[in-house]
Amino acid sequence: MQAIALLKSKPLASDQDIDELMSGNICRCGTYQRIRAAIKAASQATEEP
Amino acid sequence: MTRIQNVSRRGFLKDVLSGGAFVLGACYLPSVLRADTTAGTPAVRATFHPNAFLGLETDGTVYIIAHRSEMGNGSRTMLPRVVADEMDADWSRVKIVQAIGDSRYGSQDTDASRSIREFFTVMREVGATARLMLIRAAAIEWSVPASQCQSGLHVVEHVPTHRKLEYGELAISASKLAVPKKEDLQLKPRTAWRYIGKSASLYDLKDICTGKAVYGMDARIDGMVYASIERPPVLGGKVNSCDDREALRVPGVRQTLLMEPFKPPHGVQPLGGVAVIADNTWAAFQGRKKMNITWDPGPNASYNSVEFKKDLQKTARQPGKVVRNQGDVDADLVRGGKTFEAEFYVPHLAHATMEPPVAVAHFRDGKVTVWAPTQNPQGVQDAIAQVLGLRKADVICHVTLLGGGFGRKSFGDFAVEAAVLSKKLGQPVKVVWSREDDIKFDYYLPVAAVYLKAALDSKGKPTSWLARSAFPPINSTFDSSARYGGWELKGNWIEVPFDIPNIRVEVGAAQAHVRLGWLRSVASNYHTFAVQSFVDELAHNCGRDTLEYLLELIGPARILDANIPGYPPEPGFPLDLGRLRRVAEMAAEKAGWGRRKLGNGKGLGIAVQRYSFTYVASVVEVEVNEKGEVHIPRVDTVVDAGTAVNPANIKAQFEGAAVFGTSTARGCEITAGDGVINQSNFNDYPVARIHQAPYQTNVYVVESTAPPAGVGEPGVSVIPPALCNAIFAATGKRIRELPLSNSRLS
Repeated sequence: MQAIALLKSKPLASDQDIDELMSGNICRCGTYQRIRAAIKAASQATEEP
Repeated sequence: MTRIQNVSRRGFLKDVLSGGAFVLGACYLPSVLRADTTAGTPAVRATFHPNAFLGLETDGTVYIIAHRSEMGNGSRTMLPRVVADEMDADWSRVKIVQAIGDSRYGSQDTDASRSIREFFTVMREVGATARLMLIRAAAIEWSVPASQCQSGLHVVEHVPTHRKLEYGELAISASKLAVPKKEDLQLKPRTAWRYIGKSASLYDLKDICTGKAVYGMDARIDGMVYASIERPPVLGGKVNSCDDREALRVPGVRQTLLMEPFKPPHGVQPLGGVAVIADNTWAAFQGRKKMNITWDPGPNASYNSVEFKKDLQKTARQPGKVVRNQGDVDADLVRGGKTFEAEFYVPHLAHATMEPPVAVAHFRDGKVTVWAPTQNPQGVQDAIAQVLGLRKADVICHVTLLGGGFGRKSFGDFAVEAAVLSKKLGQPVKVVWSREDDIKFDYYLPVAAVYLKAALDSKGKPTSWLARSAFPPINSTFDSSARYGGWELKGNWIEVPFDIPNIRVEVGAAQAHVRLGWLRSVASNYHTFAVQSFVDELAHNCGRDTLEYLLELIGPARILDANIPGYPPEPGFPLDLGRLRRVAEMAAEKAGWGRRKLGNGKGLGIAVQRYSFTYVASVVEVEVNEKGEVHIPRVDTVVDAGTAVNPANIKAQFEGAAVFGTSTARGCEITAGDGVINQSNFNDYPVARIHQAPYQTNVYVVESTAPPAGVGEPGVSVIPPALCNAIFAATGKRIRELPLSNSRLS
């Protein structure tokens, strides 16, 4: 949900955007680099409406 | 040693299989029983138990039982894939059935990174047995010699005529055959493996991603009420008085119930306190806030972390109980040459699983059925049976997926709470822990002080190694009189994987005042932090490059049998210093050690260890800015875990471990004041967030034909020393105490 909110406001999210908006979410499994990669992949896959 | 029987009539799997299906079971004797009784269930570990089962339906569906717990470790997928590989089963036609707690499966205690290590061969034999029986069934069908038949993917083929029969078509005839002897089994050569060694995603991945997977928190049954428990703030405390009038006015709150205090040792008994029973979790939580309870704090109210730390450090500076003595350390230390010493400190840590403890229990007609995210369903059976005075067989423990475990959920106290309350209430109960409950009432990693001293030759290399650690032992959970750690010393700490003639290892006494337990990477969290930091210090002390110095310290490639009484080497897993050297060399190579110019405020640090019989080295890169803030651009980890059953899963474990270790190093610390835990949630127990975690972790898996070793834990405890060594390289500031948030870096 947080990632979708991020991409709605910034469709081409940078590393810094991702760090800022996702830093409220904790992943105890430690998949942050995959979360970042997934957001970027979604960003590239999302077409403008 | 494995004995496989045709167990169709024993009723296993009866809920999923129709009559006439083909079911196999295995009897398993663990190769080495653990030397002590830390898990509290030695009887279970010490006798024969069938451990694995597979079933084949006439439609070709293969059911494989996962008897170990899934918490992101991957064993629920990996062990069945090993069975499927040896069976030549089509993975897309495999359905996994999670086992209930049952000692006939062998150990189900999913801890110590040993699911694959202890069950790899057993699972291969289960699959190979099924394959051979299906081949024999087909041969009978065709009236040909079995030697003319071979298995393909989910089929048996008669090679001369190319006739084929699907596995499903052979289910009934195979079920009537005698089970072949182990000597008759032919395990596949490695080159014929279909799944072992190939990366695969988790069996449950889609369900997890779409919210369909069932975790402990999702478990619910008809007629269930919810409980939230106000526990004694100090371990061993008791309720003096309880006023619940305000709590009972909260809408949805039904009643309150006094929980009995435990009888020492606390083990996995409930801690006591008062339970608020409500129609839903929210109401139970709100009701708790309105409770007015006064406590008798009990015997641990004097526990203060500041003083305890001083006491531990004092203990670590004094001679302790000698557990290993090789050569003459004392004479060498006083011969007049150079010496070097350092002290290290690691605080209590909490597991902080994303899913807090939770369990549903239903006591009915003298039996308990429980659903819990447990790492140890047989432990849950034992604990509930003991507290409620039942037979173990009258406790049915269903295992859900676990939203993280890290060792916390090897302790079934939360399931016992649910069972106790269900018996009192006569209806099903779900006990839900809040995050605050989880942080305040954990089985913590023991706090530890470590003292290391070396006598050095003229080139700065140690000729003597004195290693002393003081920490309250985890055995205190099961034995109130325990003061000395024992099994915590196993592995690299006592083996000392270095080329040093004189070695003494000692342990100091300490008393536990909180519940203690194993936490991912266990004692290596403090021992490896100390040793790998100390090696970096020794290298800098004589102006050497740490990698070169470390390799020289390990010495030439060889098998090291430290020959320590009471600490025998694990059969099949000799300490191979060539493999230890290689992961260190590879990690340095991948990280560009010595080749990259990093600039001011930047640095690399390295740490290496063997843990759970896996060899791992990590190089951590840091940037420290003027404000003293630490950024981690990159981690390079090299893993030699022997045969890599699922390389993608190994990478995932070590990526996650880098973040877990970063949390430990950066800011995680549990402290107590007057016996009460000071921390309560992620605001004061700060696990790493996305901007604090390593930006990129590269994991390289070494190809190996050695037996598979553990991968869940080894990657954690190399990170704090590698990180702190990198900080030293970047800033010249040495961190000897964790977490580093307590040190100023600006």
